[in-house]
Amino acid sequence: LLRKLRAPKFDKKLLRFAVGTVPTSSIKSGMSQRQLIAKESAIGRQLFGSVPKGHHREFFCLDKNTWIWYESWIDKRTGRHEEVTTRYEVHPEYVMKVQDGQPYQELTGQELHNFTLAVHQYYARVAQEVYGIPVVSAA
Amino acid sequence: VKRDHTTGKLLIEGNQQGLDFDLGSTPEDSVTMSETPQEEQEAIKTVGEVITPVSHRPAMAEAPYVSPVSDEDFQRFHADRAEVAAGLENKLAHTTLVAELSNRIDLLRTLDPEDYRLAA
Repeated sequence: LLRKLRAPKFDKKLLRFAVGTVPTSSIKSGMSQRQLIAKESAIGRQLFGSVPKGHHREFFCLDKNTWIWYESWIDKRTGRHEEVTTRYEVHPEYVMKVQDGQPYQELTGQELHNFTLAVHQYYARVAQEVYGIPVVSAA
Repeated sequence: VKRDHTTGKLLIEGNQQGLDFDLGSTPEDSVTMSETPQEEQEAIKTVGEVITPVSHRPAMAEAPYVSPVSDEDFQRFHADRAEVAAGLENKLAHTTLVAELSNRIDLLRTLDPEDYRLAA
């Protein structure tokens, strides 16, 4: 799966949707930002329980203002490849959900609560498992 | 305007409520009815301006009706406001936490782990 995730074509497709460009900056650890995001997403996709068979899921923080949920699968009836990409935009006073062909929707209530929990778990696990920094309390 | 000569009262035609206005005990000491049509019209106009039933006053008739508010409604209104305020506060708290964590993750990617520990 990691090999698949690291495939340049797949990453570029997601990143182009999210920001219109592909970040190429590198960091001190020697890994590119794209490689780090791939490692983070391997953790992020586990936060929402098991992925259905035949589905592929990614969940990661693209930058400090954007989160991405990507899910793809093969429709058994039609045999067609289906995919949904959801972008979460973090604004100072609200979080906006953006999907292809759908109107912008502000996260509220239980959905916002669930999203916050996912972000919190993502940060705690990524900080420790990817960056080697144990997190006692995130807030 | 017509005078009822039996009672001496002045009656205003067109008054749907049938109100009459007692302008005096006798015809002579209240209103002098004019003889010509023009003078009669003037007299009618004067009476109409001075004596206007409350229900015919535009300012009163057009005033919006405000229903009284019960204690229960009053308390419910404030409870709803408190719930909305709590919801907004809750939303802001969630959003602030998401923004803070997103920012930290962004920092993790750009800083050396040792630098991050020092910054924290």
